[in-house]
Amino acid sequence: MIPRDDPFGGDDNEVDRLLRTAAAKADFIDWAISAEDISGRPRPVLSRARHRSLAAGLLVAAIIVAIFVAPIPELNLFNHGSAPYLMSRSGPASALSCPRSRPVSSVNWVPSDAHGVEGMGRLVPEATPSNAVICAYGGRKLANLAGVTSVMEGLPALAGELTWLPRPEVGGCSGVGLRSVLQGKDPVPAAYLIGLSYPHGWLWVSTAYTGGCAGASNGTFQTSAIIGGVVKKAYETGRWVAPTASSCVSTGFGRLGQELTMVPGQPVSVAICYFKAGARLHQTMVSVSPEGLLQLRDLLNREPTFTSTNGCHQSVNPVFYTLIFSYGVGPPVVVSVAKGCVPAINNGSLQANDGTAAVALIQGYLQA
Amino acid sequence: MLLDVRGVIAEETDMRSSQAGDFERFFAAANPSLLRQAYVYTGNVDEARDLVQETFLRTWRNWERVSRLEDPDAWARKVLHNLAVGWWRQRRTRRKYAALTIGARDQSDTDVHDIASALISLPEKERRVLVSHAVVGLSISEIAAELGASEGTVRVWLSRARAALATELKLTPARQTKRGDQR
Repeated sequence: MIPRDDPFGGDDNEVDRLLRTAAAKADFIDWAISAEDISGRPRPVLSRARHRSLAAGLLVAAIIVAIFVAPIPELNLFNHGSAPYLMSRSGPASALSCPRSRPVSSVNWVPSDAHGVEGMGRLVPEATPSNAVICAYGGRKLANLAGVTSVMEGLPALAGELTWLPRPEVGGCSGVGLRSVLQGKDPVPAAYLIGLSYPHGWLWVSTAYTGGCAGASNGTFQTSAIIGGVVKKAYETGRWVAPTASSCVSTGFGRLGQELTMVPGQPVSVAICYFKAGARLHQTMVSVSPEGLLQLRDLLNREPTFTSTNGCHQSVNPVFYTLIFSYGVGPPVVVSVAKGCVPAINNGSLQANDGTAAVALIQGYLQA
Repeated sequence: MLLDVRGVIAEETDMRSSQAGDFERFFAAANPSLLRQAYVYTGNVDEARDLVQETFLRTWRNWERVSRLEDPDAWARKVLHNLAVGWWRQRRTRRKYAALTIGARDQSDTDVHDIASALISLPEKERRVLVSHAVVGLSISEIAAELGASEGTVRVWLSRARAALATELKLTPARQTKRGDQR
């Protein structure tokens, strides 16, 4: 007999019922799996067997470290917490040591201000650090040291990304925003301190992973850029991965210098994001030639600017174009150019009123 | 009218927490069915738990893509089935060298353990069709669409699977189709 198309009807035979009855027992078992276990833990949850083999491996590794590595002061990875937060080694480029706790009430807290390196004008110096350590803080108020990771790979990428983060935008996150940390919707929020050592000094950066708004600070310089996600990933893997190329959806948080010039420095490329006629949800990205890049940059930089309010007054049916100016190192500058909304040009930090010439130029590229 | 042109950034900021929320909803809806499937596949609570955990982990890692699919449940079912196939292969290999049967039996697993041991003897497609139909509750047409096979083929697979399982479990033969009859 070949069954009819009816899941549990007249064709439901004894085998089906037996299977279904056996499977239904699963409904009465306490499985102890939750969505938070999965989504809050990007790394695989290990099975019991794997736990056992991993534990055995870690035990062997710990014995090796205890015998051969721990006696060497330069490599003492376990000395967390004692002021002045430097490892016992006296050399200038030794790894920083994580404080055991961070004050609950203090937003943007770092153990010490930048020492021997530039920390006023940017989040981190424009140089690759010798060492980077990430301290994670958990617990109900994110005050207790939960773990430490040395970033072993990707230090140039770390420097490139953090060096060029912008100053806070109007309406953007201001500093770490501890309240948003504690109220974060993410299942496993965490606060982080990044300790960076250089040949002539050191610097701490505080940030948090909240699933929401949390900027970063070195105690003096603040940014509204949200870096909690990348820091979390680096903490979990020991690698700082260079960000992927910007898309129309993921444009980053801007770039240092955009508070002074609409398109600062020397971008190496520009792409235009726009809504094609009839497409209301997804923007299309179009690359512009090197000549077009210079034309657009010069034209945008020619307009008189003022501090951005990140808003504009709309007339009928405004059209928005997003220009993504990319650089050799660090995040892009994103400039919004509007037809039918004044101020027409906005990079998040600065605005300019007249976008007529820029819109004409952009439309020319899109028609080409 | 004042427009907030930072809307795109705000959306991006909220995206992660929104994704986690979507995943939690998916998890809550898909979890019971996946656990039931894994339980009959393995016949063992611990093994089933591991398979389902791994399924959800893979789903979460690919959530940005999976959440846009028309049927994320089907994607998760396929992952679970593929994981189960790997698990069965391991068991078969072990059985070749030692008289091991499926998983470790415990008191509460008696029926399901026998069923899992019988399921392992079925060809992969037949096993999947039978579990999709009897445990998940998918119709023939839904299974056909999921497997990219014709409904007629699915019916044949289902019929063979039932007959083979009935034989393995020593059910009354009169009610079941003999395996060879459909070939």
